[in-house]
Amino acid sequence: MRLIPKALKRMSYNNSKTKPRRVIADTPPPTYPGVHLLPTELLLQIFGYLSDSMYADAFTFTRYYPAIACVKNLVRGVDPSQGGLVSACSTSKNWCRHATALLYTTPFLTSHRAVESFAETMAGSPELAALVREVYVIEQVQNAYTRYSRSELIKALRLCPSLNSLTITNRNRSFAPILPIDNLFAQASGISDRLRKLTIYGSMYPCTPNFLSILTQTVTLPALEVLCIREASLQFGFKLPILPNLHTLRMAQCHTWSGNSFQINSEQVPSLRTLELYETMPNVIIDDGIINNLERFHFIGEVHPGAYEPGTRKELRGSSLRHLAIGNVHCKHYDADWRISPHIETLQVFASSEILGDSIEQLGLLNLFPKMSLSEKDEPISKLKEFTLWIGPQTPEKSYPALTAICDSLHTECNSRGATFRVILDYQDVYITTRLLGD
Amino acid sequence: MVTVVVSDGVTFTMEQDVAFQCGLIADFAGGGGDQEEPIPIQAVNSTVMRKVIEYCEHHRNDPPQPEVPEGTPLERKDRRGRDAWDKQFIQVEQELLFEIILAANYLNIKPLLDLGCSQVAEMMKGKTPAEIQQMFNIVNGFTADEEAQNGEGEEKARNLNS
Repeated sequence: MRLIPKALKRMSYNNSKTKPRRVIADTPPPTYPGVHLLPTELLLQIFGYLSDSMYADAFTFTRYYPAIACVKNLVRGVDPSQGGLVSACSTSKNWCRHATALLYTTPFLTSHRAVESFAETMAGSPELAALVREVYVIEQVQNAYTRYSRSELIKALRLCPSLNSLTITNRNRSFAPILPIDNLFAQASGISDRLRKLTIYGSMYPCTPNFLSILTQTVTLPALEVLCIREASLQFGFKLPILPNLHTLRMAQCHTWSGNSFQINSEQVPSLRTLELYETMPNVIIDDGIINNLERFHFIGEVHPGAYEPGTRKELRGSSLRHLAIGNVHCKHYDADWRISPHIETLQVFASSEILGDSIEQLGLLNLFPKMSLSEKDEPISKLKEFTLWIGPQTPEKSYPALTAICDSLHTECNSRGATFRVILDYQDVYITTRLLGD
Repeated sequence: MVTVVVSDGVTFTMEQDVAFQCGLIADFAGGGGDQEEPIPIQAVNSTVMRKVIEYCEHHRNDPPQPEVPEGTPLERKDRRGRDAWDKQFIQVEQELLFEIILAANYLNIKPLLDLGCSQVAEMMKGKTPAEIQQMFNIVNGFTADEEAQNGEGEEKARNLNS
């Protein structure tokens, strides 16, 4: 990806001996406060906003449960357009220097051509390669499996000494990514010991013959701290590799075939502190070691009867859990017995009446709270600071009094046990703006 | 109450919870009680200070924003960071906008600084370099050759990113 032409690179990193030409010759220097007076750090902050357009593309496929839209920022993607920064690069010589640095910090590789071009630029410009921190690879594969861009990407990543984050997705979400993360890729690209964050978008659909293992069980990534897997069909027997430093695991809209279960155990991820499962359908088996160490646990999306193995229904009382978010559960089937740790600080419930067109009462949300005892009677939950009940966009108004009553009773109950906190009952209709990459 | 005197000699008196949203004033006052002596704010004029106080008064009851780690899913940045009032508040003349940004930076009011910077970015989005130059009265400083190559490079970059 040569986002900046050679001339711009020369301007940015070499001292050009050519004399600058004033294009707007008759324009006097501004005498009023303007952008020219901003110090570099503020200029960089402004440029940062140019590439800070987020969207929640993990929920692009929301035809079954559009109510999930109300949790719009639960899983975020990044707008692949860097057009604003590119314009900033060409606006002035001074801006070019700063915007180029920012542009190369998080390059987006949106095609084979871009990957090839990026590799070429990295090889020719070590100073640009040194800026790269986070690479987004957005492939454009239709139905052919090729290693072409994989080898080009390996070549480019090897030249980026500061790279610590990688996102791989396929522009056409009907197909799995062509870049399975295996030992060959990790070692050849040199990311094995320095990759701290990895995001992989799989496919919502079975995609034979390209049904690949997106993350091989034997891959060695000792430095990896954050792993996000989105929209992946996990093949039979899929297991996480051993990731000794992984503290955050996020899975969104992941599925298994034929109801196979997916295990997360403390041997694979001994340092896990944050587990976030959004609309993740397989039976998830979480062992005691994980449960006891978790500090943040999100579990949002439809939960079928029996979807979570008994291992999940542990009492969380003895755990170090501080932040819990649950939501969109089929509460009438919901028999998890939450006994919340006295360490709990935030509790968030995302409700929706839109699932199956049921009302709040039919969904059984009213029955959820009696089953969810916050702690033993004699245990204060004085650390609880915030309880949020976030209502889906289609909640019928007739349910408002019932919801208000839930909040009031919970508030009273918690106050009686030493907890002082704010109750936020959010009726606001919030939708995501869904955008399909390239469609 | 806290009293400040700005560059054009105008004095403003405000309640402590309003004033202490300015990190500079909070530091100056040391978190103590009422200040007898006016605090000199030489880098800000009265027009800008009025806007700053208007912002601080509107947000005086906001809960302190916790430090949210990058990429935290439950972050609702767009709703907390820039509500309808903020959007209306920051719709000002360009000159005043930059003065507010500089004042927010000087007075150490991070939310106002973020609001101002994001507004400038919004103004730039979707515009060509020439339009940005014209909008902000920027002298580009490129040589003729460099400018010609910019055009080609920009076209390439736009193609790659489209």
